[in-house]
Amino acid sequence: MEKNKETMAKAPPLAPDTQQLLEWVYGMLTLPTAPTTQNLPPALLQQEPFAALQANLKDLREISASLGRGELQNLVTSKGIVLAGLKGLQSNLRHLTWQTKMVAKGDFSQQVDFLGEFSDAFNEMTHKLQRYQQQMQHLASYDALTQIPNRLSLEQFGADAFKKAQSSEAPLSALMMDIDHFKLVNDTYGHAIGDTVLVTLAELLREQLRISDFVARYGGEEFVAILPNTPLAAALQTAQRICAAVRKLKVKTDNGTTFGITISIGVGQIIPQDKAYTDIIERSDQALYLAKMSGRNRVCQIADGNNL
Amino acid sequence: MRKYIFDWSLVGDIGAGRPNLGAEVGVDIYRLMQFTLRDVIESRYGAEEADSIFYQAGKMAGAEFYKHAIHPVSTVEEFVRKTQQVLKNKRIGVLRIEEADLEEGRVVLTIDEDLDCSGLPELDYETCIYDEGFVAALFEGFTQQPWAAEEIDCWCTGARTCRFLVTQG
Ligand SMILES: [Zn+2]
Repeated sequence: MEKNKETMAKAPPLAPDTQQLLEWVYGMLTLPTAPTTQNLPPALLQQEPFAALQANLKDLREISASLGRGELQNLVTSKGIVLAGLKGLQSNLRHLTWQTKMVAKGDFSQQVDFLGEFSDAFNEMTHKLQRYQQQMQHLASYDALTQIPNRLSLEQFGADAFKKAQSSEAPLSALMMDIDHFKLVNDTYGHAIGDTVLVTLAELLREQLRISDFVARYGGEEFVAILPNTPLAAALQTAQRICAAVRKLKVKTDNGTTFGITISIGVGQIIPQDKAYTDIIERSDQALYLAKMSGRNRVCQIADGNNL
Repeated sequence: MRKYIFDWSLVGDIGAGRPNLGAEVGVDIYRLMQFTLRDVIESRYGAEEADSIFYQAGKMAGAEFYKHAIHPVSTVEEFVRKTQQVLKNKRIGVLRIEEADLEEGRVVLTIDEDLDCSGLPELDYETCIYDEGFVAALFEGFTQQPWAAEEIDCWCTGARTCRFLVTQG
């Protein structure tokens, strides 16, 4: 180093033009304000290579300053390997911005692979966000106790199934189900056993219905099933089968004894006048009322608005 | 008399035609074809005309490719995701988006490991004219509006990725 300085000190002086050019280039790379070209020989300023150098240094200053400030909009046009590195960084940061916007829109498939440790952190973040979102979705659409869909899911499934049935003129039926004397179960055996009854019944309903059917906890001890592509007669058969299966259930109490339960089911189907799936649910509910009034532990139907 | 008016059927039934060699071929062979063709066209019609021919051919390819490999997509996000997937699966390049404002008619995107230019000798002009037409046509396919694409950075000019400014109109 020292030796180098000595050699430099002994070096013969440069021609003034060259000295000025060197100072100008060094100034372009180091000074906060770009040096003027006033002191440079006019002949030099007219040279094409000088114009190219000037443009390149100017773009270099610009993109470097922009990146330093965190501004990513400045797309400079000069080329070359030095600028390419900075442009590459700028481009990657712009990709990252876009990818983050996509994540904000719910696209958790976005992955980053250009920033080492940061990439790992970003990818882990999107992965975790996806998991949280799935958990939230589950919490929002499933009943916490019975782990079958809740009323919110019913609304979505019901609306879709109704639309499909209408457009394809396919049959669509619904079952409204209610555990008989559920309050008595709670009062006699306690709420924990009451919960067991609900969970057991939910499992039974899932087993008794087809994959294409949908069952939800409607609230309290009420359950609803939607049966796509199913005419009333077939829905009645399903309801009878469920009713019979429930009769066979044995629920264990704390002291080891068992007791049985029964349910009442109301069945309804789509009719041409219906405006929404809730019209079918309403008829099923009326049918359920009939089942309760006529002694419980049975299936009743309402074929359409007028006909019992 | 026209001998080959382009139609997707000209791609042929590759499964039946190449039961042993299959559908893939080397990038070197693709480039050999492209740059020899380019050489002849350029020497006969000049560089400017050659650029224009390659841009138009790229556009035709992009339009056909959109129809056969990307359509149907409904949202911008879906369009981008599907295009990314297809370009990667077909080993054309790795598409990434810097900005995409289709309503404002401005998109900046990059293609890494581009089929046409990645690894080419360094020049001081962009080479991916065919890609420009191709990219423009993808956006035309999706929006049914005219788009133009300009390669603003290229492997050939020192960047390690090709960057395209795509604008509507
Ligand atoms: Zn390129």
